[in-house]
Amino acid sequence: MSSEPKKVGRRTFINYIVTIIATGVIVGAATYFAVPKEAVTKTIERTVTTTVTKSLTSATVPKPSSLTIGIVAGPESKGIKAVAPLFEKEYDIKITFAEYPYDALYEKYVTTFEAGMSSFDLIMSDDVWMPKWGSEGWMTPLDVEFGLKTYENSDIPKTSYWLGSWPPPTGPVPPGEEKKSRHLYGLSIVGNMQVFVYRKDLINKPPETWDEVLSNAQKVNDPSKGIYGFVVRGMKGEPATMHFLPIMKSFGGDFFADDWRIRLTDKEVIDALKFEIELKKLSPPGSENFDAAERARAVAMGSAAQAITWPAEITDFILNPEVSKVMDKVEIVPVPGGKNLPCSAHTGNWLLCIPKFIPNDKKYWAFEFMKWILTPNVQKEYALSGGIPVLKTVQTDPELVKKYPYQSALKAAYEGSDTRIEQGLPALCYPRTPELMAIVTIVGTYINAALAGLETAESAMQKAKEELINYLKPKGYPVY
Amino acid sequence: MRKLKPYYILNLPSLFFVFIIGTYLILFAIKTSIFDYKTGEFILFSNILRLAKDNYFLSSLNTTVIYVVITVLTTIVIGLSIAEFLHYFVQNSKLRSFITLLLIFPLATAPVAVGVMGRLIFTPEYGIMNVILQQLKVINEEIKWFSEPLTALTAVIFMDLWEWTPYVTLVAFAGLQSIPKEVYEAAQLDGASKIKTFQYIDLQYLKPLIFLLLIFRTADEFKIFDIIMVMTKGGPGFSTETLAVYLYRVSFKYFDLSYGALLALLIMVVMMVVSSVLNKLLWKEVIQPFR
Repeated sequence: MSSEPKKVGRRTFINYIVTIIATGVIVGAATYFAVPKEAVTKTIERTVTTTVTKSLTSATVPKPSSLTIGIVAGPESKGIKAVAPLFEKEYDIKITFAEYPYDALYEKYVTTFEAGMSSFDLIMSDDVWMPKWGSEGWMTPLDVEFGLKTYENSDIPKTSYWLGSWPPPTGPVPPGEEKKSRHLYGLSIVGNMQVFVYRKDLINKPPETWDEVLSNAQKVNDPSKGIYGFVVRGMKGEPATMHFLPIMKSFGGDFFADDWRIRLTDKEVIDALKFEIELKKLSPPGSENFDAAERARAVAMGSAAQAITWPAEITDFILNPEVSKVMDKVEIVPVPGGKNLPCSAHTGNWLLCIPKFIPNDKKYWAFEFMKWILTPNVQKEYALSGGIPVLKTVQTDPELVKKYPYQSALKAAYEGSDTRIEQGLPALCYPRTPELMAIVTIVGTYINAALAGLETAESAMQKAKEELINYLKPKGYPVY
Repeated sequence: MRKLKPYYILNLPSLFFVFIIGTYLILFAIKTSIFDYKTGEFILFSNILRLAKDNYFLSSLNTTVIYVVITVLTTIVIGLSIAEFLHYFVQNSKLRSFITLLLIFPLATAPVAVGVMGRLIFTPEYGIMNVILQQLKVINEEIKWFSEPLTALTAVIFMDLWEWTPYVTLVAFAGLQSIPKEVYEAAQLDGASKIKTFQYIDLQYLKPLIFLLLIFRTADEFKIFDIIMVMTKGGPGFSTETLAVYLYRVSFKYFDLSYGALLALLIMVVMMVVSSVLNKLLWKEVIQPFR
């Protein structure tokens, strides 16, 4: 027998490869289709204990070496990052931040929780994501596990409790969610609310209604001097929708009625969009594609006399001495209201939630962190470090009001939203449904088209309505 | 007993992993497009029916085809022209190295950063593009680039060309450098003009590279996403929404993963068809004549 290896030709080698590949495909496919996904999920879920943690105390619960918190990359996380070392020192638990950009954070959360697991012990969640968490049941109910009661702390705005509750306490409830008992799944830690900025050197008094905003804009608008009366944030999708919301609500409009009738073609909504188109005409050119950064720039550079804005835009641009040309010329006030509405500012809150997939000891200490960060002393430190506080007493703290002039406008914004809750209406926020992101994308696309002049207000809202019906009806929503 | 040669064996692990990863993802996409990813309900036919009636899909496909044709052809024509210029008119080696270095910058820039630059360049009020065009007396009034479908698409395409033309230039320039000098000398002796030299020497030598560039660039442009998302998010309206942007909207804004998987598979099939047509052309026009 010869010891020389026999040569294998290319054809034989390809045959080997094809055989291996075919075997791989058959085995892989058989395994993949044979194991039902539910079985995997249930196995994982069983490992999550259901013991009620409220009876536990810090003495009986082993302390984890660290807690991992999912946070968004941006100014919203400034405060939590700043106070984390204080918690580490006080509790001897290391805080690790898993930081992702906005879209990536949401995708990361959803894909992780879909698999029935969590690499986060606490998550920082945009309030618009709460319906998704609530309907999927991915978060720990704070009332059941820790005995937390809705509205129990009068220092926390009602809006914060409302946003963290599921199903929504007021307004339309998504199909399939009506029979679920309501629980509290999160509490706001970033008290982000829209505020209004205007040039006090050009405009005599703060506008109290949207009509005053328009008439001010018409008076001061002078493109030849590079000054525009207003600046819209019209970029396609969520930015355009968020900018439109306070105007729409002040006109008495909304996306849905309580029975899920789509209200986009109602007179109130059409009038509001026409009104916004008028404001767009008095805005810097190209503002139909402006996002928050461009809007803040327009105000900070002195080219826009009025704008709806967020606190982060104020601290980072408009009142930032390194950037702003209008530091001493602007005043921050509440967003004008409307019919039965003292202030139409909308929420951009970020909440802390505890995923249900983590062990009980971690849940306990995650909740301890949540309680700790919402104590007045920590909230003040949090706010002094650039975080946006939630507690009312901190929002009115004289030292903070002096340092951050938007604080009193924040308080007014919460009061506007809390008033709605007291009237039995939804808080001033996006509609509460897990399909929210799709809804704001659809509506925001057509608002953008209307602002760009590609559609009239009527045709834009009619098309958005049709698309919403096509999208929501197959999902069981009784839309019409 | 037959023994495999070592290089066959050494290739097997990488082939195995590439195959397993590729197969798993494709199988996952196929399964997700057939069965609802949450309920497990059979939804293939309803998804296909939805696709047939989906105007946004057709509109994004239309935008993608326009985008791909314009960007691929323009990058190749401009890239090749710059490469020819470098080959014939820039003989100083230091200057060539410097220009090559400059050409690498756009390639090394992340597409998201290219998008951000695009937003700054084309913003009407302070963007540099309007200033340049006004200085050159091309326009009198500033263009609102992102307000009109045509100008928005032009702005996005411009940034894409800025990023990818250097790639074509570098590849074509490398190809031109490999042409033997004797061939040019022979052409000179025969009295060939510059145009004839380009037509019968440069183009013939570069043909395989041009076909490869066509395949790679088409595949790349078909997936265009980052620049558009940053610059326009597909707006105004739907006018710059390409297939990848639409796929993202369906999958990660609507979280309609089953329909998204079907769209992804469709894009893959379209790409396979386009690539195989180009491959066949490459074989017929370039490889076969030399065999």
